[in-house]
Amino acid sequence: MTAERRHNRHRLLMLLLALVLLGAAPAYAEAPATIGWALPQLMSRMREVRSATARFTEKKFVRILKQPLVSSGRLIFVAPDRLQKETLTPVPSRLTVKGDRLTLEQPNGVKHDLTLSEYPEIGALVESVRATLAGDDATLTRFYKPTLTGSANDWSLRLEPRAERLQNVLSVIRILGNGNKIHAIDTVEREGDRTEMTIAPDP
Amino acid sequence: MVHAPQLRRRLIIAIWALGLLIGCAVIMRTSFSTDMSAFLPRTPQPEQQILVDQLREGVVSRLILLAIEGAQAETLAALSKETANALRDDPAFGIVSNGDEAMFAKDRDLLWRNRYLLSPGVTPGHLAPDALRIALEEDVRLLGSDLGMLMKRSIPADPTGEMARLIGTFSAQAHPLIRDGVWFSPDGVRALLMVQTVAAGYDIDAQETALRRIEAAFDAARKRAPADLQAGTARLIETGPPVFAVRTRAIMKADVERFSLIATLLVAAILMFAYRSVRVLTLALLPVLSGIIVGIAAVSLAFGFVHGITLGFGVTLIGEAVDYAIYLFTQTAPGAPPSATLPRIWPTLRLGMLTSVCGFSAMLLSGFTGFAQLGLFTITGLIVALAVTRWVLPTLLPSGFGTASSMIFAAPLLALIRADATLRWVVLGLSLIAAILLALHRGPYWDHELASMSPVPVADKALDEQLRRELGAPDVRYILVVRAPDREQALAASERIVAGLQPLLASGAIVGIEAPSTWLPSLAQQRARQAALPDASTLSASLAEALENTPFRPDAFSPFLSEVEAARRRPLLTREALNGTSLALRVDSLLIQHGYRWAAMIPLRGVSDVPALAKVVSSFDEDRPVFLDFKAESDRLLDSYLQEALTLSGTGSLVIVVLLSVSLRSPRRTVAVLLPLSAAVLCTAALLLTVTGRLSIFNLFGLLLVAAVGSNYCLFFERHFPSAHDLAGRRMIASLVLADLCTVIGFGILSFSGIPVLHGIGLTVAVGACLSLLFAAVLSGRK
Repeated sequence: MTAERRHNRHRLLMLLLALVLLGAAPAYAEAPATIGWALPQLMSRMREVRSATARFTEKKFVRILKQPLVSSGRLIFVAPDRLQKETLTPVPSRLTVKGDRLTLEQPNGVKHDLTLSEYPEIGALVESVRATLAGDDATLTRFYKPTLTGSANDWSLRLEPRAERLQNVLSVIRILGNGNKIHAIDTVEREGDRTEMTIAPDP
Repeated sequence: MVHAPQLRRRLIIAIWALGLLIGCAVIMRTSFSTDMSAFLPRTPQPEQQILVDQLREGVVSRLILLAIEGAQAETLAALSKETANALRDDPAFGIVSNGDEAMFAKDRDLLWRNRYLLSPGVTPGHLAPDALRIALEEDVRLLGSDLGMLMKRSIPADPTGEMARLIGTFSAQAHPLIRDGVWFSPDGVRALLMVQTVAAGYDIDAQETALRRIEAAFDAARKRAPADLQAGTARLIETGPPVFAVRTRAIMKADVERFSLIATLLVAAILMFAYRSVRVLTLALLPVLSGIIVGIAAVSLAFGFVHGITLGFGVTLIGEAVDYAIYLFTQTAPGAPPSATLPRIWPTLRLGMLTSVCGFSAMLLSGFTGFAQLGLFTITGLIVALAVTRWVLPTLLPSGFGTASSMIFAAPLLALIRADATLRWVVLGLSLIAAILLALHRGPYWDHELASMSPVPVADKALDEQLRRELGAPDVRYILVVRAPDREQALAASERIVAGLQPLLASGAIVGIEAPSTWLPSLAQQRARQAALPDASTLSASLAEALENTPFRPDAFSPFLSEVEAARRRPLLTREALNGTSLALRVDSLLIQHGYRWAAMIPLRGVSDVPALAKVVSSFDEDRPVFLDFKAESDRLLDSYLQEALTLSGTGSLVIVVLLSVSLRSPRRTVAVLLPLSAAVLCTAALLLTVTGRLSIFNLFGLLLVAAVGSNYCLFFERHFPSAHDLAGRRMIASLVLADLCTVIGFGILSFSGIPVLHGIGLTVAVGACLSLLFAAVLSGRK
């Protein structure tokens, strides 16, 4: 019963993504303002990293919940396009993106596959992290208007969604880092809910 | 002062002209159809009736698959959206799907508003504290998960996930790849669309109009597309049963026109060569034309429409009916009046015609409209052609008419007749070999594939299958059908069957069930679901209890409380309430009214364990559904079609034998007529079977025609055995050769047609008529 519900729920997730968000046409890049430490420099620094592993802690602040939902696990990135988010607590699950393919594996063995080009908005969310890690500024600027502030050792990258449909859900994503390392990702949603992810190097 | 013979002559011509005029008037008002279901039985089994109905007007018969290709993905997506939007505004189309969100919006809205009436999860206890707590815990887990961001919208109003259940069922079919918001083939080369016409599949005129409108919508979208999309290279591909039906009709029309023109021209050329007179040539074609006109008119009057295949058959009449005029003209000596020839050949002609009519009369009794039409058309055509030859032609022939030059046609056959008696043994030997070949043939004689009767090219069928695969819309093979006296009982039966099938779904024996009650539950079921919803105070108490120790805010679910309360008072969902959504057509295609009875169709997807399914089906006590296997049923249909055709041909042959025995009043003479005829039919059948491996139903009709045409030759030989020195005999031989030549050419041309019916009949008769004359010449000689 629960497994069936969970299965249905996840089908719904996929569908809602398709139903609620579909139809956005990606706009194309315009050169971001460059003052000293600028996106091209950050991107070329990020390209130095061929692979990385880190621990994450994620806090989700949801209006209908009294307290944030906390989860933690590992992030694995392998250049150019493999990103894996392994949630270990409280409920294990594994989200893998490789190329155009996204796979969500749940502890009960239920596995969901989708292609990012099929769901451009999930693609956009994935690229906020993956394209940043890969130093792929073309992809990043296809989905977002990036604004980089701070210095090479303490930078903040602000990503505003371009597509209107994505704007309806997502306000902004802020990525904080130093050098070629990311240490926090804040995702702020339209209706005020937000997700804070802090990232620490794998011990 | 008019003389009596002249008066009679004028009267005959007036009657004839009037008949033609009436015939033409009837034809002008006739509707022509190429609906293959005319060749399906009229009084079938219940299972077959369902199959026939589905083929004629079912959802499947109205489904058009579209693909747009030949440009970059972005352009294809834009064209797909533009075309789909134009078609959605067109009342000719019920469902237009291209993966675009627009198609979901109304459906989703209806499902959302009625989720507590529709969801099978709503049972007593479903919203009790314990069940609610489990649901809320699941909600927390979902909110925390990676894709949870999107759940927040629906959780406050639908914490138990009823919508998820409904949408899961709604889109359970494998859907194609979505790119740029619309369906694409897996390789990204084609944008895909599915369109369902409002008009039934058998209404080919409406289907043709629908296809033209789709093409117009696509062209308009292509023209309107911005220049940078480079839409000019994009192409539209259409497939599906309506496309095949329209194309079949076009091919049939083109082939019938082209081949009848060629056959007529060739026959005319030969007659021109034989008679050297345009007037005589025109006269020779008059009986055929008259026969065709009256034949079509008769079919139209008797059946209300004329089938394309019947019309195609009309071409074949040219081959036989032109013979009558040839016999008359060629056997009339120069200077002698035709009235002198007629008494001599009339009994033979009449008996020949009667033989043919007997052969075809069995078809009149057929349970297949198509066969009955063919029978009526041929019989009427032959009678009229002979009547025109007998009474009209002599009055129109120029005085002093003669056909000396046609005598050269006699030479080859005369050589055969004069040949050594061993030739007779050769013919008999060949027939024996043919009979042995037929007897020893391994495997089936008859082609049992319904598909082989369709003129749709194999490449088109392959494309159709490919698009179906890519769209995830495979042909449904298994359907359960349950009948009930009214709509509510049909829906209730559908609900019981769906419930009974749940174990099979769980075990994976079947992958999916599509039932009308899923989208329109019976009123009783909806009332039961309403009754299962707790009242406001009970629910809010249960919710408060369930919320303890969860991270949810106490007021998080106020939309849930108010919407459940609203659902308890909601007017029940009716068929009318579905209007404007794709659910209306879904339900209409699954819930069908037949007179005073209703039938609920329950198509099953992914059936992997047929015995288990059959067992469950037979375990239903009341309203046991009919378990319909489309493929098996189609095969059975063709089988009964073949069986009937064989029986009819057999009966026809028997009647011919009886007729000849009675008319000729001598077993010896009967055998003399039947021997060459049987030999020709046997050899033709063996030849076709050896060359093509299978005989089709059209070959069978061809053989019937061979018997009809060939019997004329054999009768002439038997009744007027020609001596080589007798001028009249030589004229008779010449007339037979000329007639045979025309038949072989007329039918031989048809064998080049790509339409199975024309090809099959054409080839069979061309070979058979040729052999009939040769065998008659060799065997009939009193050496």
